[in-house]
Amino acid sequence: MMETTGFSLGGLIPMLIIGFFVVIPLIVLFWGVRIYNRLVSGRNGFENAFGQIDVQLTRRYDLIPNLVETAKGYMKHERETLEAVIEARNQAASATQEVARAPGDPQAMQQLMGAEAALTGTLGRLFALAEAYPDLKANTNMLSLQEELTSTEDKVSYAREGFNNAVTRYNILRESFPDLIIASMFKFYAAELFVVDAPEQREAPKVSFS
Amino acid sequence: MELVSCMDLLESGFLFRGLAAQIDSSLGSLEQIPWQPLAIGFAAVALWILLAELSVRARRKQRLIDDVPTCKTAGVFIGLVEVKGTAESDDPLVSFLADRLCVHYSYTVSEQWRRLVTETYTDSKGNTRTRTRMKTGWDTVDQGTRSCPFYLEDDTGLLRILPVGADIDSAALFSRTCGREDALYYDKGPQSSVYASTGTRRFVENGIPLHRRIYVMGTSRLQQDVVAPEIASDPQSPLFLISVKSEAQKSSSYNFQFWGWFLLGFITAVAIPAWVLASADGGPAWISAGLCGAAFFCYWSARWVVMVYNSLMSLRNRVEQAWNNVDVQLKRRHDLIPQLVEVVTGYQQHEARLQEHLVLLRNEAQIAIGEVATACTPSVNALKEAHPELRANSLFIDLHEELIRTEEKVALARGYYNDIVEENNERVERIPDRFFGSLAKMRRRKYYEARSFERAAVQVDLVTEQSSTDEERV
Repeated sequence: MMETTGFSLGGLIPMLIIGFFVVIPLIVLFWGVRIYNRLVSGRNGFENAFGQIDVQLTRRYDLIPNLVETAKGYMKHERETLEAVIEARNQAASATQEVARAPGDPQAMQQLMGAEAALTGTLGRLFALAEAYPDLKANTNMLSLQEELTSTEDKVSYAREGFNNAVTRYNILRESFPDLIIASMFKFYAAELFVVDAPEQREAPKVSFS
Repeated sequence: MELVSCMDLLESGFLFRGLAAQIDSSLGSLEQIPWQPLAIGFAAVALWILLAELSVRARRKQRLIDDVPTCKTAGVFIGLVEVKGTAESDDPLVSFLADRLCVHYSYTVSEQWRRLVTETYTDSKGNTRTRTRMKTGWDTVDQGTRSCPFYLEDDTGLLRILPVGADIDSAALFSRTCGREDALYYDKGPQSSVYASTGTRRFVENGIPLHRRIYVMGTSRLQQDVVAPEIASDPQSPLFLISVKSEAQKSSSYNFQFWGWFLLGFITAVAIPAWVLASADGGPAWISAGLCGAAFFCYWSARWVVMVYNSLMSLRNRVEQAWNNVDVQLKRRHDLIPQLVEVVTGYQQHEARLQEHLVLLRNEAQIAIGEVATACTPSVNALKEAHPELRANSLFIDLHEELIRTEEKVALARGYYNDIVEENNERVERIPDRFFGSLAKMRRRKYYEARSFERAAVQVDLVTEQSSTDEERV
């Protein structure tokens, strides 16, 4: 059998055996390691994506109350300034009445001068406010608050979609053939997609200004 | 037991010794191994595997294109999406040859030559000879590719696309063959010429012109600077395609590739062994050819089954993703809208108080003009002008727009879900997919359905108080 010539495969048998017991297990091993690594990075991918949602939620938690406070503070400032103008205006009016009742009274005259000066001062403050924000309005503040609320929720929802994408990608990977062999050997469990936890949150919120 | 294992050991020892002896003798007779047919055999097997792979991959891409429904740009989510629209850009490229505005182009300038070549060949008697003959050919003398980020526009908005790394199908923009007398020859081509040039150059340019309808499929991600998605190259994306062809054309071209590669593989699987064995010693060539053909067909079928399983399983996962993406939009709505309403309400109250103060101030100013004009009267008049209208208006407009946008996003997500469910349910019933459905855990899905009270026409009622309409709705 060993004395083969020509096209017989006799001389090849040992090489084929070596190939079978050395090369093929090596190929299988490398291929398995590659799949394993792919699964690991898929799992890390969706874990990171979950973390990204948290990043956005923390950002929202830190940012929004501060923005609301800022808007509130500005509204208060605007209101108080205007109230101060009215207060000063009332004082000036009563001082004017004093002067009208007793013309020539130097004390009443001085009071009027003082009240007028105070009124001019508060009005100055009101106009400084108006100049800093040409539309004098907490309105601008509120508009940007609205915009920021929207873009914050957009960021959160894109992060959630990113998470769903990473989960889908990982689940497809762990269920695809041949990766599923390695996935079941090394216990790569299925990942869960984003779900709204309370069903009533799926309902449309009622907008009401009554 | 021990005896048996000892025997086993001995036997295996003998086996190893026998193997070693065989290796020794085979090394001695290495030259006896028929290297040439072996090499041909390996090369042929590699070729068949490659052709089967190409065929199955084309089908996989085709199924992906068929399974992923088209998404409106306003409803693009993070993940694998398919969009259709026109290519738009504020700062488009000007193509090199055609001078047309485009978002992507690639051009090639080639020059013809005709020269004497010396070649060696084997004649019919098996002698190696050399001969010279005239040969004509083309050499590429210049080429280039440029693309720029652009926007895909459809009826709902814009979506940014970064074409780097995409598989681009372009349209023909320019094609001309000319001689040296043509101005184009040196204008758009290099000054030097190739050896033995015939003085003929071919200018070819392909690209995606501005405003052209295109079809894009790829994985979207969030942009770095703006809160909006964009489609860009992603190494993990199963496909990134930008094509001037329609979806149907693209799908049928992949179908053509699938059958083409399969037929090529099958024909070579039959023809190569037939040819090798017939030229060798005239053995039973047709039996081997038949066996090789059957082996190729079996391998290809196995790959095809795996591909169908993977494709169905991916579709099932994408359906789940689409369903849960609806939840993302619902959660966004639930979180966002009450906040916006709160902002509007808060500001409305603030402004009401502000206006009361202002009215008071104005009235007093009017009275003051009648009595003693104070120093501040003109200032108060100025204030009146600075506050001409209710500002809450712009906040209401904002809220109004955001409500629309939010509901549109929810509707688009639901619409996408229904589209992908349609693909899913079709696969569940179609032949041959239905035979693999249970393997891939496919099941029929229910479409999103409106609840019965939502189907009724909405009563627009601007007279009744909000609270009473609320009760009716409940």
